[in-house]
Amino acid sequence: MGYLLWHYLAESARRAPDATAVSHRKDVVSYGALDSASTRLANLFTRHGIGAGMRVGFYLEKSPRVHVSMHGVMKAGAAYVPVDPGAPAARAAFILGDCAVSAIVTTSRKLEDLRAATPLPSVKLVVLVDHADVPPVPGVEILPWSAIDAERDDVIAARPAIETDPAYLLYTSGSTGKPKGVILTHRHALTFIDWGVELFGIQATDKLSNHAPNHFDLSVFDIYAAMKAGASVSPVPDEVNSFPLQLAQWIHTHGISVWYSVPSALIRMLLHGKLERFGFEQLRHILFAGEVFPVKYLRDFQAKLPKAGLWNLYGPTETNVCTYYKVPVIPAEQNVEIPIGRACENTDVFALTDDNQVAGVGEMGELVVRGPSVMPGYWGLAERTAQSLVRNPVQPAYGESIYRTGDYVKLRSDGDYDFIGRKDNQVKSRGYRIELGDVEQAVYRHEAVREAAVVAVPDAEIGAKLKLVLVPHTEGALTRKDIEAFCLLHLPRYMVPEIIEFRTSLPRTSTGKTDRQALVNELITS
Amino acid sequence: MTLEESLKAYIEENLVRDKKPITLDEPLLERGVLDSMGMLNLISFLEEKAGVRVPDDDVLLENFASVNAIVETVDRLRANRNVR
Repeated sequence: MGYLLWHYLAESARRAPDATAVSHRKDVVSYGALDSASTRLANLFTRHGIGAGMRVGFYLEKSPRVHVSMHGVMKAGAAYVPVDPGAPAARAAFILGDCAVSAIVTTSRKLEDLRAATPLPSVKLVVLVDHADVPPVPGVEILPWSAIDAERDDVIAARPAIETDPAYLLYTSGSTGKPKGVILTHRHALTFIDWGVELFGIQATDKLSNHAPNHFDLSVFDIYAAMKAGASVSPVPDEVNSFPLQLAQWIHTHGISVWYSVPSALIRMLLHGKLERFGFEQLRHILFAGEVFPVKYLRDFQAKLPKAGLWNLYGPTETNVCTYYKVPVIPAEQNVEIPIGRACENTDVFALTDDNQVAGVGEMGELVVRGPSVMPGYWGLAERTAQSLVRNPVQPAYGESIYRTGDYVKLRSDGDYDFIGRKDNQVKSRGYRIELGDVEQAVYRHEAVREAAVVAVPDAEIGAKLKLVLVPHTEGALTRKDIEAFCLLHLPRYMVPEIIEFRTSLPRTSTGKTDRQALVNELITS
Repeated sequence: MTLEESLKAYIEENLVRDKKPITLDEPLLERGVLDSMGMLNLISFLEEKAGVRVPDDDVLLENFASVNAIVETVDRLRANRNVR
């Protein structure tokens, strides 16, 4: 019985070592090769003293070496931390420093960027996937990828992890202006993957796409559902991803049978990908999560791809998917959004009213989640963890922790939940969760900025656009371009405001605070 | 400013994260310009500044591979428009 996340790979490699595990551009890696390479990497980590209770960061583009690294880190007993390869080096360095990674897997160029950004005193080892022709770093051993060749692949020398140990950390936008690390255990991931593989009937013949970046929790399903079933996973190459027509063709010609992404990627393909030209004969399931999929686009999708099942998956990073809903045929007259559905197997959800009572049918409440897929906490943030993980008020004597999602829902009479909206200042744009305060804080760092407020403008295609209202110290001292360039240096691109407006002052509430509601109301009335 | 110059300036100011200059034939994909948001921005820039509509069938990597490739694409789209 597997109880660690890498056991899926080991078992599939034993059953069918020659089957394709990962296919990316011209790189095709078999289960046997992936298992063997990740064991070698684990032994390399172990020899360098990296194992249980430690973290290893990845700061690199998608490739099969990322899959080797994920499994290698877990086999060594440690947890991995995937960082957005497109993130500015300062943000990447913050994340790697926050959870004090002992090792980093990256490229020589990104290592240079990281070194220029900040010192990382916790790092003892760097493995470079391209070449190791870089200047030395005092106290850090820098090895080329080929160093794993000298390691054994028949035995894992590390002290094994247990199922409640962290398998990986995913960093999400945080209300303090700094990203926060969500700790996810082996048991968390297995709970979710076992459910998904069973429900979607994933088999060795399936081909799963991997559209989401590795630092986004959607990728966890793509990779590990494939590993469990002995199926193959194909990361979408960058050169295809931004071109809807080429992306649609890629799905068709690669025989992708299970697709999973945020709705905005699907909507872009629907609107610009000429879907009617392709047969998509293999495509069985289209899964989406991360934001609301407007019903008008879902209906168009069903008309163009009648054979593929559409599934709405809901869940924050802190629990991964916790509810699901199979989209029925949507009648032409329907214009209300689809529900988020009901709890996944081995997971329980319910809604709590503001006075901590279980909400009944038709009553609004905050969705809470209990079960083995709930995270143990945020890395190093005890107070923030205590706000999200609370005692279950329904069974106080049991003492279990449940996760408060911060999402308002309503229970329907058929047992499905409808999503109503966020409790706090977070918005979803292109599937990314954005704390508006993070964007404001970044903008405030510009010396010419006096005041800034960021509000979300609802957008049917991407969920929300960010609007920045800005007051410079001196009128005319800042241009839109200046502030965009500044944001691009400090924020991932999805957090850079699309709309920027200059003013001489911001509206105020009676207590003198920035009146964000007034800014939101302007959007409604304009 | 020619289209080539304004396009290069736009990409350098808005889409290249490290703010380092680009050359006219440099692969934009490798500089991280052509992610999905970068593409949306590029297409709106062309429609606004160059006054051409970019049909879905032309939103292909080869047409956006470099500044030179984009300028050629715009020239071709303009020529097609004049023919019709």
